Amino acid sequence: MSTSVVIVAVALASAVEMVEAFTILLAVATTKGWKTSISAAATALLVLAVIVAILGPALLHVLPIDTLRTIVGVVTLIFGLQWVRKAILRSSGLKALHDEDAIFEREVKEMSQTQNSGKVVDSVGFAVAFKGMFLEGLEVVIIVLTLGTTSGHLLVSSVTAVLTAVIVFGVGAALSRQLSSVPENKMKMAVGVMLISFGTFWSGEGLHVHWPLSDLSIVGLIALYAAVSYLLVQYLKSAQVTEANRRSSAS
Amino acid sequence: MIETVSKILKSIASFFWDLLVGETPGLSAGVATLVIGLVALHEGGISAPYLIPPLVVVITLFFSLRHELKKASS
Repeated sequence: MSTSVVIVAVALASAVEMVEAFTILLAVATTKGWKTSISAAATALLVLAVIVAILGPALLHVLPIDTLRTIVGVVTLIFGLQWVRKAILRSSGLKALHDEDAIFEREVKEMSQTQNSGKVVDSVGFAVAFKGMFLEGLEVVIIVLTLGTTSGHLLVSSVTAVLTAVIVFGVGAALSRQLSSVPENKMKMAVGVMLISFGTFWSGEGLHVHWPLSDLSIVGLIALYAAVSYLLVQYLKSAQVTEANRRSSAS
Repeated sequence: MIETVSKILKSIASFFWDLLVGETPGLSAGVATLVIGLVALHEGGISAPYLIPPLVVVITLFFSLRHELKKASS
């Protein structure tokens, strides 16, 4: 059960982050050429792979399982809460939705204002593409490391993340445009809910909380947090309507 | 070159700052409360009830969002 949930969480997280990374890579490719963009992405992926290869086994072999679960649980909880919080704010209209088209246009504009170095690989373009790919990839690495090490599926998690990235980049490159139609916020909400469920479960396990249904409690936690997230979106929406009505009647 | 590397390092540092405290210190505080509470219960010889962790998470999320709502309304 937990293997499939881990795979789904890693695949969704990787898809969301790679869509964001691809937008930046495409903007750099459009203005500075594909060679700059691809070489920066490949370098960032290599650095990220080294991080997973070093930190993954180190985490597994150095820390006792209870300590590992507590630390990983807490990091997953904080990380997941950030994702859920942002997704709820966006769904309720309190925060603007992530707009890949706008990001693409902004990146292209910024890149166009810098001079081309004349080299095969442009240094400014390389830095922008590397930063974009590395930072978006780092979020995936954290999810792969936390979900992978604690569930004992580090290899499966890593392969899932890489395959998802390949699919996203493949589709993006075939279409030759940013993937703005991907329902990013819904995916982010789903991953966030899964992360806080795993985070709650593992931090509890590490601190010797006895879960009534053992591993199956994760499903219960996912259902609980999904319901709470839905209710919070409705609460924020209705609070905004009430506030707007109060203001219009006051004026 | 040095400027580029420094920019990348700054972005990475800012990424971790935002992740753990920067944007939403309330979330980290809520999670810290959860850990301290569970450790205290455990050290006190009382096995921690499983309802506490999800309850703390939901309350933390609720107050964090309520804070955002108040900020937007003011």
